[in-house]
Amino acid sequence: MTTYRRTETLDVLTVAGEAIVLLPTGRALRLSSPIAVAVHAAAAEPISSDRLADIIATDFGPPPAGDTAEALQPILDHLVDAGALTATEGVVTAQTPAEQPERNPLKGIGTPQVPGAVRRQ
Amino acid sequence: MSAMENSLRLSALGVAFDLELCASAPAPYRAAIDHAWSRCLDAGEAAAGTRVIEPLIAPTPADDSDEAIRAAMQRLSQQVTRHLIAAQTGRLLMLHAAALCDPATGASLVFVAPGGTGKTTLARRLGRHHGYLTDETVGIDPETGHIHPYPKPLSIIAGEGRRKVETSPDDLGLLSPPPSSILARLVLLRREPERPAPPRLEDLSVPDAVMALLPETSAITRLARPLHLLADLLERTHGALRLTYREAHDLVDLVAQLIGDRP
Repeated sequence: MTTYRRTETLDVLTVAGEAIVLLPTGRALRLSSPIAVAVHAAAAEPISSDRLADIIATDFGPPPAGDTAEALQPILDHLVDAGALTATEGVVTAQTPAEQPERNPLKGIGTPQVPGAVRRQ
Repeated sequence: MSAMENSLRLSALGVAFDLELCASAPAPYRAAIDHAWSRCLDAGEAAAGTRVIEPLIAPTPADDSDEAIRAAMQRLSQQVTRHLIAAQTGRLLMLHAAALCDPATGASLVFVAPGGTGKTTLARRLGRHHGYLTDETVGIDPETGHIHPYPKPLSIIAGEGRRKVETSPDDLGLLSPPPSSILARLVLLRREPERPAPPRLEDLSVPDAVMALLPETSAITRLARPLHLLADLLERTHGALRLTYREAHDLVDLVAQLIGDRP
């Protein structure tokens, strides 16, 4: 089990289904996939990969093939590589509903779009 | 006794400061500064309440030769720019940009571009028709859109040596802006010297504009909620444009139209 959490941000701008994340270093990341935007929002607090998959499945529906966790993994890896998320091996403490991060309002967008999920400045 | 005997008050980018020259600085150097920085000389007419920042010590030429003075003038421009940016960090949105305005209304176009890609040439060419605000760094009040001019000398290649010479905007016939100028539109420049077609204007989406603007900002991370600040500014000014062009003289009519469109 892997726990994900978004890295420290100076500002996050969500517009037109995309998000721009400004890191304290001044580097900007553009999250052009709605699923990447949703993952980044959900990871405001530590969250397990299973929980993330549940949220994405609920908000976007199942992928055309395979399971959501499998389809989500390349996006998570990409966000970690880009510096938007940290990944830590270990079990996250279960969250109560009140602690759950706000869901992305976009639903039914489709399968995760790995290429171009994050565009670096 | 201080070695600093010569000083002059400059006002730019919304602040004022004393530029101090070493007593050993040659007289022609002081004269060159007075001339080239004429638009920034503050003879007491700076707006009331203008913040006075710490003095800046001007670089001293190695000798009194023209070349030594030219080189010192170049270093001076760079140091003044850094001094002003440091003073306004966390206060203004600062962009690497040239800016021109309607000399009557102050409606301003801010032409954002990296260094060495045409800002000075554009300001030199179009500043004969529109008020010259800067060719280097634009300071924008993020709340109001008010532009703080920085009408510095322009680095113009001149002479047989093809060296850059700090040139007064007065010598280039550039128009002065009105007392107040306000952002009308952000324009991201893309110069394509080989481009055969006429200039092309495109609307940029907010994400495209923000991503294109960020690398051309100074100290934006010191402002509160900088991405939202940029997005708000874009919304208030009808979004940013991408202007692809070949030569600055191709833009005369287009820029006049853009400035006139946004009083």
